[in-house]
Amino acid sequence: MEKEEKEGLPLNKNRFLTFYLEDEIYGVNIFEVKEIIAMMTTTAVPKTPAFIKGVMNLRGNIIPVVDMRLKFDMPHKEPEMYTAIVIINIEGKNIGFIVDKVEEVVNVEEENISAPPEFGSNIDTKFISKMARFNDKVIMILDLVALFGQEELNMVQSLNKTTNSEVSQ
Amino acid sequence: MSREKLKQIFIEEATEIIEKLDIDILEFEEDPSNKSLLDEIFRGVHTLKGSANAFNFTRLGEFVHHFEDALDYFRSADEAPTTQQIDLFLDGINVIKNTLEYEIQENEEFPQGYVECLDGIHKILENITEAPLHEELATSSTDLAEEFSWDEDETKEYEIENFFEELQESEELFEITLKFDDDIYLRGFDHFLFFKNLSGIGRILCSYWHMNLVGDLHNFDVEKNNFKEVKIAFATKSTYDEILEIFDFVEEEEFHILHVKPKTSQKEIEEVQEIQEENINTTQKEAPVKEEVQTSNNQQKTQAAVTPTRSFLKIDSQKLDELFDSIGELVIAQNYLAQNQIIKQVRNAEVSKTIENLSKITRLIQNRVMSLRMIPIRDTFAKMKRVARDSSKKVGKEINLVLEGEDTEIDKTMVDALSDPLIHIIRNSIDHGIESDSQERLKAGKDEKGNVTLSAYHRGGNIIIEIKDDGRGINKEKVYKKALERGIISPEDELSDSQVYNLIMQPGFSTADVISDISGRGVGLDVVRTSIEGIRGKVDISSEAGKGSTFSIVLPLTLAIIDGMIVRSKDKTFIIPTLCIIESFRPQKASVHAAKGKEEFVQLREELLPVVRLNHKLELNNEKPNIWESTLVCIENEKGKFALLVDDLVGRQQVVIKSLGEYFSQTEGVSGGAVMGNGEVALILNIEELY
Repeated sequence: MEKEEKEGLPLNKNRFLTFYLEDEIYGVNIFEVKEIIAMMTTTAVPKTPAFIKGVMNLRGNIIPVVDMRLKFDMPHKEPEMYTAIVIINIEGKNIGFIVDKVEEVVNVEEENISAPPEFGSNIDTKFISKMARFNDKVIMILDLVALFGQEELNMVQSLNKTTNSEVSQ
Repeated sequence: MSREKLKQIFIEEATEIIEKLDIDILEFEEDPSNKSLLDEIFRGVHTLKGSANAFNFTRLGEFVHHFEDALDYFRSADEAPTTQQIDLFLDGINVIKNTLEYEIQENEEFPQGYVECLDGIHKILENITEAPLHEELATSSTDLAEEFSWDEDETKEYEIENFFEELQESEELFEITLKFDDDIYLRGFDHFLFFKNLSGIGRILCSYWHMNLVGDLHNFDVEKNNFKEVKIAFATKSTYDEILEIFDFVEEEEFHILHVKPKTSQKEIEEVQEIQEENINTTQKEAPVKEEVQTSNNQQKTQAAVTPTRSFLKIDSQKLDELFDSIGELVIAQNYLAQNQIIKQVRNAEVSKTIENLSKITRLIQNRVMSLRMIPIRDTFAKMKRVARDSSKKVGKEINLVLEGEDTEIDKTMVDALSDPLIHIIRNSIDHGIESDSQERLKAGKDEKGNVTLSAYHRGGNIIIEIKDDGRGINKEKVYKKALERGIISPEDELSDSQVYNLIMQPGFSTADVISDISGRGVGLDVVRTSIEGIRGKVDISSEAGKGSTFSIVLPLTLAIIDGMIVRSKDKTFIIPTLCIIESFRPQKASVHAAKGKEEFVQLREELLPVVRLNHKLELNNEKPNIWESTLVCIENEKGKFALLVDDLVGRQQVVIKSLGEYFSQTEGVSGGAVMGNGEVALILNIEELY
């Protein structure tokens, strides 16, 4: 089992889970994905940025949930049948990401992968690590560590801190 | 098991032993007659030595070896170690601690104090070897003289029976056979150590070194034991058990003690021998029994020895957390079953009985798992004795440290984080709090000795740890002036007393005129504050000039069940710890007051309480329902009472506190979350931050 994984690793380097936000297709490296669950009720945490939907109960663990649409400045959309939460492991912690629809897992050939464009997208390219072409579609591969790693985390905390100090004054 | 893993285990064990040594030595200082405690210490050091050598930690091994010798002396001697010697031992423990660290880091240097401390120990050893050892050397040297003149024939004449005539009044004859393994020296023993110890309880009449079993010169290895068998004829008034004690630390197959009775009762000898062999077998195989057998005539020691027979199991705390989460899920699943409408419609006694049973068992499991993480604060407090002792010595003040509420249980993770802040505060109290001049204390009508009280107790859903000294108190003016000087505050700031006191926990603040080695290096109490805040606690300082100061560490009961009041505000569910709630009420219109048109107050009987609107406080919305049409919850926190305005009370429920994770650790007004019966998360309000 372990051996298989080790041998299989290099082959799977370009395997992505793809999902939709609006009409655009995004991907995350399959190794970062822990699981996909149907949309469930979240609890809003006061005084956090809007894109932080809140927290939810994942089998006894409370994890943060991020609304990807709001993170990417897209209009809010009520959850429907396809709305899903992709649980991603970032720096050892699980975070849920709400997406419109989960598509599939794709294997992309190395030659079909390119660097992200410098402009032309309405999304901050900092979060897009590369572009992948697959079956005439272009997948934007997200770098979720950049999206919600240490830096963002600090941002959330400092945001809280400023509200704290404002209140105390 | 890999060597690396073994090493890890050793390091863990060693750390534990060292911690215990610290505490034990201090306790020994209080009661130097407690030999069983000294034995305990000796055993700890001995274990350390064995493992240190096994892992090639030579510096540690060397140091511990001498340390052990010094301890061993006091074990057998009548005299108790002096305060200086205890100091040396305590220093020794520090050196051991540091040496272990160096060994782990593979740092080739000798830690600070290593050489000095070892010298000190050598000095103790030199002094003691002069007096009592002389006699022993004399006896053994005559023995040796005999031995050296031996030849093959003579040895054949060695018969233990021949020594009966040498017995003095009420002495008994024993034949002790030593069959030490090759590695006995590496384990820190040699034959002469046992000769010496035996001489302490009796007379060695003769020793017979079996030369046939000694290897030839070519294979001689100084590090190995070459004497495979040594027989000792031993005359003593002591009992078999007392002799056995000397061999406590060698393997059972490495020695044999035979009680020799006069020839007339040869049969008896065999019987005795059998019994004794049995004894050895049982004693070695079942440690607890061994302790009791050996010490039946020593009540004190029996007590000390029986305690460790409670067996402990080490578990990775991560596994506990996982178990904890699973139990949480179990509780939710059980709640679901219990509240399920379809199941409720099944009118079957068996089904309802089973569901009832399930809920009972679930609660039981939940409680038990919960208690696994809670440990008494006793050990942490005990460690503080050492801290208090060291710092009082350094600044030359006599201190009496009183411990209270040591049985208060707190979460294991908090125990670990608590140690350093406590050390800091205690040092601070001794260094700055207690008067340097005992005359000054006497004049103020206090005891000559400074009192520092360390106590722990529960209050209002929190655990409070108090460090209280009866020193001169904090000089408010001085603190205020200093804070101004350092630019921590501006002259316009209006500060309450407690705010002034809390200034001393600001970074870069130190009022000590003389910067001492102990505290007052400027990196002081702000570290305490940050580390306590790290475990979601806080520090409060109160002080009275001339009477003393109190540092209160207020800690939450994390990972524990709390009894919560479920409230709703703007369709959201929140939990208020019931312990903070005094009452809830719907006020009359007439009792509501609004000051300056903004701040709102409500009169509850004699008191005027400020109103905090939860929806505003948490920025849920801007709705402003009439106070007299809402529900108010009267809550008391550290600062006082206030009325929290909510939409609705839902009910009381026991909930499991869960952290929201570091993303939300700083969120104001919220201390955690809890998974409710429907699987959703409700936020637990942080009462301290609401008003």
